[in-house]
Amino acid sequence: MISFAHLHVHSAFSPNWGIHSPANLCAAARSAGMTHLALTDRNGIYGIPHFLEEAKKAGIAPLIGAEAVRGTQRAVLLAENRNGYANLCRLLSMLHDRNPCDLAEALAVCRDGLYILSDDAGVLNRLAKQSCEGLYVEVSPGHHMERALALARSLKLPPVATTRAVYLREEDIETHRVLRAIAGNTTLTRLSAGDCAGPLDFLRRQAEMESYFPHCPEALQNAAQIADSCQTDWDFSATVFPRFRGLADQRAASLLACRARKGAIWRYGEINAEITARLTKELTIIRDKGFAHYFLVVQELAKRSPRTCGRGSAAASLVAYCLGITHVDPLRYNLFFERFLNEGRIDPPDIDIDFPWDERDAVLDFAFQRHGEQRAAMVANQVGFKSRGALREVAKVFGMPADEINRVTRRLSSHWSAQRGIQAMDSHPLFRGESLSSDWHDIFAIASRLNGQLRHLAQHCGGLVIAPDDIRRHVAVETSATGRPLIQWEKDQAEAAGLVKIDILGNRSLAVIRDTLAAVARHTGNSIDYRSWQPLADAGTRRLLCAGDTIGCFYIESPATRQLLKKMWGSRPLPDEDTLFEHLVMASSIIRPAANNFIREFVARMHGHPWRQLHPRLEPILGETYGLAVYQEQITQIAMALAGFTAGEGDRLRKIISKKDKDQTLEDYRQRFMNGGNRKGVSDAVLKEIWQQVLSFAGYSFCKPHSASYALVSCKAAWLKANHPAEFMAAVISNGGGYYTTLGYLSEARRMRLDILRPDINASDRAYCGKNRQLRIGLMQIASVTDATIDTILHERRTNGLFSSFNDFLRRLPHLPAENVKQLTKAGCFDALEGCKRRPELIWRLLQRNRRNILNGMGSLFDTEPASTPKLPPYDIATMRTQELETLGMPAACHPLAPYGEVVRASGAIPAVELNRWVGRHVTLAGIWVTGKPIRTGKGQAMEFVTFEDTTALFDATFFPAAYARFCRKLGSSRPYLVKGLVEQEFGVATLNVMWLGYLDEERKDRFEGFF
Amino acid sequence: MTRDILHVAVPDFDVALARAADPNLKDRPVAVAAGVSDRSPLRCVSSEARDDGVRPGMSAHVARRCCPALRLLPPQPELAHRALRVFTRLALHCSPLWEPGNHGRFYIDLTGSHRLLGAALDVAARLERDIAEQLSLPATCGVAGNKLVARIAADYLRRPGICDVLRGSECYFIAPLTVSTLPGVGSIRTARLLADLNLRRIEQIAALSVAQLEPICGSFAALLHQRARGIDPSPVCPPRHSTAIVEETVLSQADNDDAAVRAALGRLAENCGLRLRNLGRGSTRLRLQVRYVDGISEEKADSFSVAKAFDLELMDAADRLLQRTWQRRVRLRALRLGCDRLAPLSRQMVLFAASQQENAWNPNLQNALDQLRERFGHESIQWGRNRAKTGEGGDW
Repeated sequence: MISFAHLHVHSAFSPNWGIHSPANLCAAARSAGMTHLALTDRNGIYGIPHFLEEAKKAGIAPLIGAEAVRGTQRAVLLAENRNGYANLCRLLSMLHDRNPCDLAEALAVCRDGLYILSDDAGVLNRLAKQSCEGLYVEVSPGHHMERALALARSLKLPPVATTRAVYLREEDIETHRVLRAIAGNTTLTRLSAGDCAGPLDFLRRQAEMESYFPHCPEALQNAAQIADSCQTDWDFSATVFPRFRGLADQRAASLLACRARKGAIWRYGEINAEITARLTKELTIIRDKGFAHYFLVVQELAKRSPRTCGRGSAAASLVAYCLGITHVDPLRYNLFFERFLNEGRIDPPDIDIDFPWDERDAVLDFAFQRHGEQRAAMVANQVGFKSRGALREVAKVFGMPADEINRVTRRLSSHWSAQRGIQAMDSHPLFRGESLSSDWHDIFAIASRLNGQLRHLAQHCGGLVIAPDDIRRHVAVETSATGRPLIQWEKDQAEAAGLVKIDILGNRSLAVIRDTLAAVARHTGNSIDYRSWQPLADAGTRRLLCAGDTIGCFYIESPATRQLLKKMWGSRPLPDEDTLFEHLVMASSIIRPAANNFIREFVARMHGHPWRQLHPRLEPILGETYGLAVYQEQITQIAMALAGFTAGEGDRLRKIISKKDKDQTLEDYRQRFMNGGNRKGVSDAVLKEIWQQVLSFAGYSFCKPHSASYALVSCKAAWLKANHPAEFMAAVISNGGGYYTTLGYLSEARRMRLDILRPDINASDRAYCGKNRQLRIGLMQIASVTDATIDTILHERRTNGLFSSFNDFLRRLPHLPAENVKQLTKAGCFDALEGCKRRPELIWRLLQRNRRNILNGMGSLFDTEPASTPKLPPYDIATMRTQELETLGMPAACHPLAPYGEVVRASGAIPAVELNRWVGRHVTLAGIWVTGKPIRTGKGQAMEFVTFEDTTALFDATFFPAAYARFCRKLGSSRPYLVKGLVEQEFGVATLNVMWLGYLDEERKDRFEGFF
Repeated sequence: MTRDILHVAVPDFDVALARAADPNLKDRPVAVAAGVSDRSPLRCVSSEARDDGVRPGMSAHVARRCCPALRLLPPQPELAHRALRVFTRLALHCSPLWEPGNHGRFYIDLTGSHRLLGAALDVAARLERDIAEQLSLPATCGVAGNKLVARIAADYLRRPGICDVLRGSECYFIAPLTVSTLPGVGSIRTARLLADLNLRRIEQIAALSVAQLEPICGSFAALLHQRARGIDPSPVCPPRHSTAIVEETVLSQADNDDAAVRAALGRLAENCGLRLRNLGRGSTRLRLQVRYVDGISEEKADSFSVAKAFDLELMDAADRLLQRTWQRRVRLRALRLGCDRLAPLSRQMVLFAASQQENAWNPNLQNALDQLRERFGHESIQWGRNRAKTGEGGDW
């Protein structure tokens, strides 16, 4: 039997309390000579799957538990067995319930299979009356030990020794106090002793523990005894599937087979031998693995909307295609089913479905209605500290004012870890020359220690888990801010614990397609059948795709993808439908960080550059992608063909490469890959080269089915852009969330020769509206105008007709907020009725009406004649531009560069549309910043790809490290730029290698100063 | 009767004081900061620093980044007091009707003193010369028929000199100036007037009737209309004696450490207590204002039924007030503790003490402390809680 084990330990998964990761704690316990370790995070099992994995690696026997805290009541709970674990989850869920519950009462109900350790007299008294079994008095150094021992004697309960461990090192005390101050929205000096862990709460060695308990050695023995009797061989590998309408497995499998065959007839018209064979193969695997329920549940959800996009590896499944979950024909496009499901795959597959973003909540509502809140719950996002958040929060604790915090943190990426952010402050060009006060150095030091500590849960955007029974038996459940049940694990831990996730995601482009189709039907009477729609049959659409004019088109609108499309097809004849689709799928997969060399080679091979397969066995795998690995599943296939991996092993290799923390495991797989290849007679050189290609996938690659699913949506969007540009651009802007800003899309609309019309009180709807060649800005664009105001205006217009004048508007809508009406006026909504010169007078009339309303409400002793409207001077052009920026957030009447026409001409800038004519020459261009993509070179130097636009076209510019270091702090501004550099061309696409960057308005100032 | 109002202003008063003390600072970018730390906000900025983008209210750290050559100086309250004494003497020499303003400004009503003192222009010239001679400070003087225009006239000048506005032509003088020149037209009103109604100059406001201005600025319309026409009937008010006792401190280093702030507050309470006891009175209302480093202030007050004058009870009351007033985490820059509604100290003992704590202070102990301090200085004996790391700066 062991002699002591820590039974009360907090990891970084104790929200706003713990500091160290389960991995660190396991390593520390191991080095302290412990064989067992319990993880008892506060009110949750937020990190249990991680803990089990790390304990296994460290050779520690893991005990599952939690510290339950409710008001002043507290108890440590340890799961003795699986039943105890279920009760633990249930109890923690009760504690997080919005209806308050008493901890002692809740424990009295759910104590079966649990060890309960507490020094709370109230809790112990209540439970001891029920039974003393599994009940202990917790005695910890620094926590009123004598009082606890007296309580044990009086209740005749055994004592048990713990340290309530939070710290491993002395500096952790400060980190913990900062965490507590952040959580309590207070300062360090205002923290009371009860707000924090005690100063002795370290994970201690056994000898130290003995020195604290010379008078009570049985407390240590009891700890060891509990550790010994708790279950430690936890196994969560069994997959927890939803159950479709309570059917038995066999019934569900037959129902699925029946629906799949019906679907095949619907999709193909008739079932041939190939379809039958594929269906049989897939249905057999699905049945054997017990996934039939899962497919049926997902199909039920997918049917909620006519426009969905089933993405991820599921698109490789013919069954999913026939059920209408996915929309790409896996047979026609040769999609590899084993990427989705195979005999060796032990983890559950997940099916992700995109719905139009504004329909997603309704689908989730349906799912909860169908399965009930007892069985369904959302997956959580565990929100911790990133670089910016860590610095901001620590700075607030230290009392820094908001503007100073913003100044320091605004250039940090919100995605960087705290460590990386702080390193960037030292080395990144963005922070060069930045001197910070001494206070900030302390803040940095503490913030750099905040790494991965859990702050709170948030709801994953669409992850849904459904259990066949009460989900609170499997995991503790909280309630999200939106009122939905929320499991305590994020997607990786949910998967590790066997919970199958269905991703119900919001997709703005599906809403764009829906809205455009509706507008087209409204304007032309033509309706398009979404399911039978073949967008690439249209030559105009193919031309648009090949020219890379894809701004606004889902997934292929980024500058990198547009450039790639141009390079691929710029100088080639228009491809046929299937060829273009195949290549579009490849293009959307190959765009990934640090893959420039592959992309260049890919395009070169496509243009006829000679190449040969590295090994003949790769021909069937890489033949369609010009001998280069483009899709994720090709990793699996390569490993199977070259190194003799099984499908399951190959799939695991793929997963490991996609993960971040992979060094050791990946090295093992590399060895196996090399050994396997050598056994099959493949040379080391070939294996090394292939391995390098495979590694380039790290974290950023897609499988072919996923890319194909997305490509189909891209093609539909491209068709709409080619054939109904005004309606399409209106829908793109109205649905928001694209790669570019609204201003970027408006500029694109201008380049498409659409007329941009200002908002108008009689002509504008809430959203943007496109018809023929006109695009009308919607009332939604006007800042500070509330939804309620827009609703009122539109309702009044629909009910009583158009407004005839500003006075008519004020008369019919007397109670609209004055500030909203003022914004409408300044945005030019009444210009058509009253003329833009009268805007100041309209505002005066509005203010007068407001004043009258106030006086009428007060009741006046003397009636006064209303004052006549004063003659106010009209706004000048500059004021109107300012008002446009203030109300619409962008210049809408003309291109932002238009006011600088004279300066642009004087600067000698060439139009961007002519860039191709200046290859190899140094040129000057004027432009506004559209988007940028900062990256690091192979040597770790920072650089950025930036897209600018002038009045004629977009142009891509590259800031190599030297130019980036010089000009990075100027980038990203809304001021117009003057860019100088060398024009370079690759595969017919010209880009600018930037040598100098300045502001155009400064140029103008200098010029004016020169005049005087 | 035509009035003659003279307004004297020392531009960038704190900087001018510093330059008077150290002529080497002339023509250099200089700013006066409230404290010595990086976080100290600037109180006053020289025109050279302003040209580099430095503005009052900026933190010292930011200001140094805008203008690396910036010379930061601490405030010199003793110089300011000396200047005020000289201003008082010079003004009283001219007229008993004089009104001191903030930051080196004052008004003198010279109406009817032409035969005694000479023309207002001459008085202004003398004052300007005397201030330059006695204090080495540059001054700008505005002479007009009312306080409003006299002040605008003084600020109109970019260098030392006198701007004498012909009586009766005040409205023409201010007509072409921007509306923000008018007092009472703050940033919000300015924005509304300028941007929304396109009223840019004072004459455009003057052209509107009060009824037309009312929708724009409500009850302020009549006053604004009056001011826009250069009319200001307000009298020059000689300084009034206030009974309130106010103690204030600028923390030498902005802090959100409870102990440091309580120590600074305790010292303020001690000073207030001493002044109250010297008057033989107690305060029935305590008013605390805290100012954060980001410029936001918060003020709260507490009233008592029994007047307080002893250190411990004042410190206790001030602590409670601090808890209520200091709600944010942001560091504090300054504290101001005021004792008003003074009342005679009650000699009536409480017959039934409500609790032990209320009787915790001991008058004899307080007397002994006061005697010790009188004999050996204030620092000779202090309450332990008031001995913290943070020292005090000066006026704020």
